[in-house]
Parts: sequence; C-alpha cells; structure tokens
Amino acid sequence: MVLPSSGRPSAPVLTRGLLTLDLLVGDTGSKRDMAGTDTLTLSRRRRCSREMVLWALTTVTAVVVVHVRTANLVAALEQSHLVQVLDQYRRGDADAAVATFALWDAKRVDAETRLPIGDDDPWAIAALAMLHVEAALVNDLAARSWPAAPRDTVSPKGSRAVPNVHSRASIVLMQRLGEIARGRQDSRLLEFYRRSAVAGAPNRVSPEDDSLWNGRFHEHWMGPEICCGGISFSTSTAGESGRIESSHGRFVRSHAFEAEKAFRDVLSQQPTFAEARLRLGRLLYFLDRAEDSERELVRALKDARAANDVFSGYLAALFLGQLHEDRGRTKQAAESYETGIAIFPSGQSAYLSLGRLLIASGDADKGWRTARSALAGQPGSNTTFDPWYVYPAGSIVWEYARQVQELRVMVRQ
Amino acid sequence: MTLFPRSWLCLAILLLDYGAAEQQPQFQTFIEGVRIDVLVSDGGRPISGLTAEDFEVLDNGVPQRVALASAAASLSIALMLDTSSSVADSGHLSDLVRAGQLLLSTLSPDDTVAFLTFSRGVRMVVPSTRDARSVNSALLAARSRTVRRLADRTAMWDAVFAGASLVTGGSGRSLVCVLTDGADNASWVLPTQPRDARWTIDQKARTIDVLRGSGIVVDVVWIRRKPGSLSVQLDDGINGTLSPYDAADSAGGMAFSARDAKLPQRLADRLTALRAGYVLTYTPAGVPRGDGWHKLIVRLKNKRGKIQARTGYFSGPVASKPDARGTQQ
Repeated sequence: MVLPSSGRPSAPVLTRGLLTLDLLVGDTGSKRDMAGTDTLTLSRRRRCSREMVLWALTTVTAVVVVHVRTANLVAALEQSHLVQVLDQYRRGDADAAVATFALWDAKRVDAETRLPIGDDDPWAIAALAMLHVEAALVNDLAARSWPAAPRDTVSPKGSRAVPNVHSRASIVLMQRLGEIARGRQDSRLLEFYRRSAVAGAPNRVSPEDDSLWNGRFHEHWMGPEICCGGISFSTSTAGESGRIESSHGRFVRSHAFEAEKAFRDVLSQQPTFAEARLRLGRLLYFLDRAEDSERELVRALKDARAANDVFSGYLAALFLGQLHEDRGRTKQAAESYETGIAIFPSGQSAYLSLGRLLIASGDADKGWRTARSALAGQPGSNTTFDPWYVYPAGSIVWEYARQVQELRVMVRQ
Repeated sequence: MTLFPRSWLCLAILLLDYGAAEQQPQFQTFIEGVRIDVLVSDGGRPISGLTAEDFEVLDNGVPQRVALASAAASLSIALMLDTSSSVADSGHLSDLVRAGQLLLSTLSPDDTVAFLTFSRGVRMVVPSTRDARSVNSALLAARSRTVRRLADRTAMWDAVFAGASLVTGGSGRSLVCVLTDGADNASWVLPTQPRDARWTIDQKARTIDVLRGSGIVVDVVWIRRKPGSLSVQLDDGINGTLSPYDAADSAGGMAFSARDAKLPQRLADRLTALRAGYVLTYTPAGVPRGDGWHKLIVRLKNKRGKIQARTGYFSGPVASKPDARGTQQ
C-alpha cells in the first residue's frame, strides 16, 4: 500500500488511511524518491499529530464509558443494599438495620441521599429519614465520646462528618415528606411530621437547665478517686485466672458540695423541677443523709407524676426502693419497685430489684418470675432503654431516645 | 325434737365454728426443702458412684440427714454475650463468639440453652431451646450486627441476674455462661460505680448471696484487657470488673480465657463435670427457719475429693409472709 505523492485524499479517507497505514507500514515512506521526501515527511508529521489526538479522544471516550457503566453498577448495588437495609428497618430487625447503616462512611451516606425514592410511598421516605436520624445518633455519640477504634466510622479525634451527613439527609427527606403530607392531607403522615419536628427541636435552654447541667457535672465527678490498684494473676489447671483488686478512694466532697448547691439553685427557681430534686435526693443518699434523701425523693416522685415525667418518676421510685431496702423496710421497698414498674413497665432495673428482694425474702418462685419479666422488652424494639442506664446523661437524652423509639414504631406500622 | 330447733342448732354450730376460725391464728405448714448441687472431683476428674452416705452436710454447723435425689444429667444454660463498646471496639468479639460456638458444640441433645446479649441492657435473642444450631446462627448474627449505641454502657451483672431467671427451677443443672471482657459500668442489681466502699459491699452481697442461695453456677469466658496499664487500673477502679473470684463466688463457677488454646477441652470437661454432679436434698432439722442466711458446709466422709457446692441459702421470713411458700431451693 502506497499513498500517492500527488493529489489529496478527502479528510475521512485520510484519517482512516493514516491510522491504517502507519500502523501497517511504519517507515515505508522513506523508500520514496527524494523529490517527494519533504512532502511525505510533512504529511506524516501531520498524520502523527492527528493520530495522537484521535488516540487521546478514543482513550478518553473509553474511560468515560467504563466509568459511567461502573458508576451505574455501583449505584445499582448500593441501591439494592440500601433497599435491603430500609426494608429490614421497616419490617425486620430494626436495631440490626441501624447497626449496619451506622457503619457506612460519610461518602457512601452522601451518595445514598441522591438516589431517587418515589413519592408514591411516603412512609418509605419517613423510614429512611428515621434511619438517618438513628444512625446519626449512634455516630454522634461515638464522635463525642471515643477516639478512633477498629470499627469506627469516624476519624480519629472524633470527626463529626458521619453524623453531619446523616443529619443533612434526614432534613432533606423530612422537608420532602412535609410537602407530601400537606399535599395529600394525610393526617397520620402529618402527625408523624409534627412529632418528628418536636423531637428534633433544640433542647430546652434556660438558666435552670444550665444549673442542672452544672450540678450533674459535679455529681458525676464526686465519684471515686482511685488511690491505688493492685493486680494479681495466676495460672491454674482451669486456665488463666486472676483477680483485679482495686481500692476505691475518697469521696470527693468538693464536687458533692458544688452539686448540692447547683441542684438547690435550680429548685429555688423552679421548685417542681423533678429531675433536679431527684438528683438532689440521690446525692443526699450518698452523703448518708437518708432522711433528707427520702424526703426529696418522695417529693421528686410526686412532682414527676404531676408533670408526666417518666424518667424522673421511675428513678425516684427505684432510688426510694433502694433506700428502704438499706434500712430494712422490705415492704416499702417492694412497693417502691412496684411503683417504678407501673410508671415504666418496659424498664429492667425495677423488675430485677423486686425479683431480688422477693428471692431474699423467701419467695424464690415469684422472685425469679419477676426478674424474668425484665426480658419482655419494648414494643418495636428488642432492646430496652431503662432510665437507669442513661442516668448520667439525663432526662433530655432519655426523652429524645424515647421519642425516636415511638417514631420508629410509627414508620414500622 | 322438731326441725326448727335442729336448724337453729346447725346454725349455732356453724356460727361458733366461724367465730372460732376468726379468733384463732391461721397456721400454715411450710416444708422447707433445701437442694444442693454438688460437684465432686479428684485431680480435675469427676468422681462417680457416690451415695448419700458419702456426704456430710452442715447447716449453720448442724449436721443434716441428706438424700441423694439424682445426678444432674442435663444442663439448662443461659449463654450471655457481651456486645458493649469495650468488646466491639477492641476486636475481642470474634474470640468470644468462637468460645460460645465451642460451648454449643459440646452440648448434648437433652441440654437446653437460651441466648442473650447485653450492653446497656439485656436482650433475649433466643429463648430456651434444645436446638443449638439456631443459637449458633444467632451468635454469628450478633457478631456482625454489634455496633455502638446511644449512651452505651455495660450492665453485666443485671444481665447475669436476668439470665439466671431463665435457668432456675429446672430439673437439670443451671448454668449462666458469660462471654465478656468483664467491664461493667451500669449494673443496678450489683452497682459497680461505688461512691462508698461499705455501700458497695452491701449491695454486692445482696445479689451474690441470692445467686449463691439459688445454686446457680456462673461461669465466665473472658478476654482480659491488658493488665497493669494505668487506663485499665482506672477503668477497673471506676467501673468495676467481674473477676473470676466473683464468678467462683456465686456457686462453684469457673473462669476461662477465651484465647486459651485448650479451651475446647476445658469446656468439654467442665460440662461433663456439671452433668456428673450430685443433687442432695434435705429438710433442715435442729436449726431455726425464716432467719435469713444459712451457711452450708458440704464434705465427703472418709473419701478424698474436691467439693464444689453452694455455700449457703436463704431461709425466708415465712412467718410474716403467709403467701410465701418457703425457700424451695
């Protein structure tokens, strides 16, 4: 194949020719006569530069095509995974779904929010919004409380990237849901939207709360000072065994003093604030002022019931039961624990306390039966959320979590 | 005699009888039987073939006449997996799950097992069943789904107590097997956030005594965190740690390392020993009743062997509780 040295082929022909020729003949052009050498060399240079451009274009096109197809594939896979998680949250083990979703990194969560979800099933949107909220809560606490860990979804030093991206996604979804609910005049959907707005409202901010938080801080730190810890281990035929012995140190009086002052400040401004009185009663119990403690706890129980404050009422009953038990008043202790159960039947600690008390009183059958009731769980969830387990965090955290649980129940119906 | 006076007489007798019943105090009879699960071993191997005459039981120092009810052939187990942050974050969960699978593989068809997980609360995953495979599946699923939760804390002793409620009262030997790193910072029934040492001891005694008094064995398969570091010492001091001592203190419980290369054999031996245990019963004689804690001593007569048994029982205040049925251990 030899190109004519005279005459110009049309552009498409030239292009095709350049590609095929140079691929096939290489330096064949050098065999031409000297008169045509310059022309041919120039022509080849042009051809080479065009060839490079074409190659670049082809490569770019190929890369774009592969990228788009891969992206579609990944999106399809992720969508299917998201659909599975969402379905599990709505119809299966919701806790497991939250656990899975909470482990996704920020980039992936961000990508998921762009996936289209139709308006035909608004409860799917509601469920996805709740899934984002719960995953944000899990990661928010991790970001606040812990440094990096092997399975951590947040970066070292507690990045807030993951909770933030979940929060943004939930806000977008809830806005959309609000529009749908208003458009359809769906009362149940509007109820969900209203309740979720209440749950998402900023925490109460008032001078009393500041004092309460201050008191809680000191209440927490008045705990044990660790003076020393002795550790001994041995190896026996049964395997490694050992005993860690710690001696607990002094009671930090200064923190106890500050905590009591803060709680009394709160109560001077707001005498019916049950949580402040509850904490004051608990504090006095540890200060060996049992009679003062009992008086405050009884009042806290009364105020909490009047205000429908489940957190404070349940714990006041629990603490009172313990106080009665300490003083050998078995009957009153049992009544207090029963009051706690009546206030929040889904708790665990009141059942366990009452069960233990009954067993120690000689009624083992009834005692173990009562203890077994602690495993009944909560509706919509297999996990319990006993106020005692979040006592250090306070009623705000518990109330918020309880509202989230209730909203979860709504989207699962 | 006419009918009229007869009917009056009957009525009078009835009224007299009613009045007498109103005036007399009601006496109820309580048969307070005590059950003791006993393991006897020599050099780590269970001893079989013993009779009631081979045992000596002292109730508050007073010798008792015991009967040998039967051998505890089957086991009733509550398998409890710690899924709290301290376990999940440190990568210990896989080791604990593997230990749980080993335990399940050594069960016999007559054994029942319930599976529970715990972190800030306790959750029953699989109720008591003879189907160990379903428990195995749940165990693996628990590993994959464990993640930090809101306000995550660990209430291990609450979980142990709730787990014990599932296995008590059965015909077989009751065992609570806890897979954990031992950290507890939220239990209510056995507080491990001590404000005062004396108070902590009192609280601890209440729960441990109840477990001991019920004859429930608490075994622990645990991952020990790095000992000696300051953070661990502080953590143990603040949060408390379930030591093997505590486990053994309940009723002859044992502690195993989840990373022990001989763990499969040790667990198999342990279950064999539990199955080969003896159940002694007696009705207390020569000791007051309803007076609280009774100390028990169990030993062999004229034979060598190591005894593992409960160290006491509660004799409830039955006189003041007409509805109580006494301590049926």
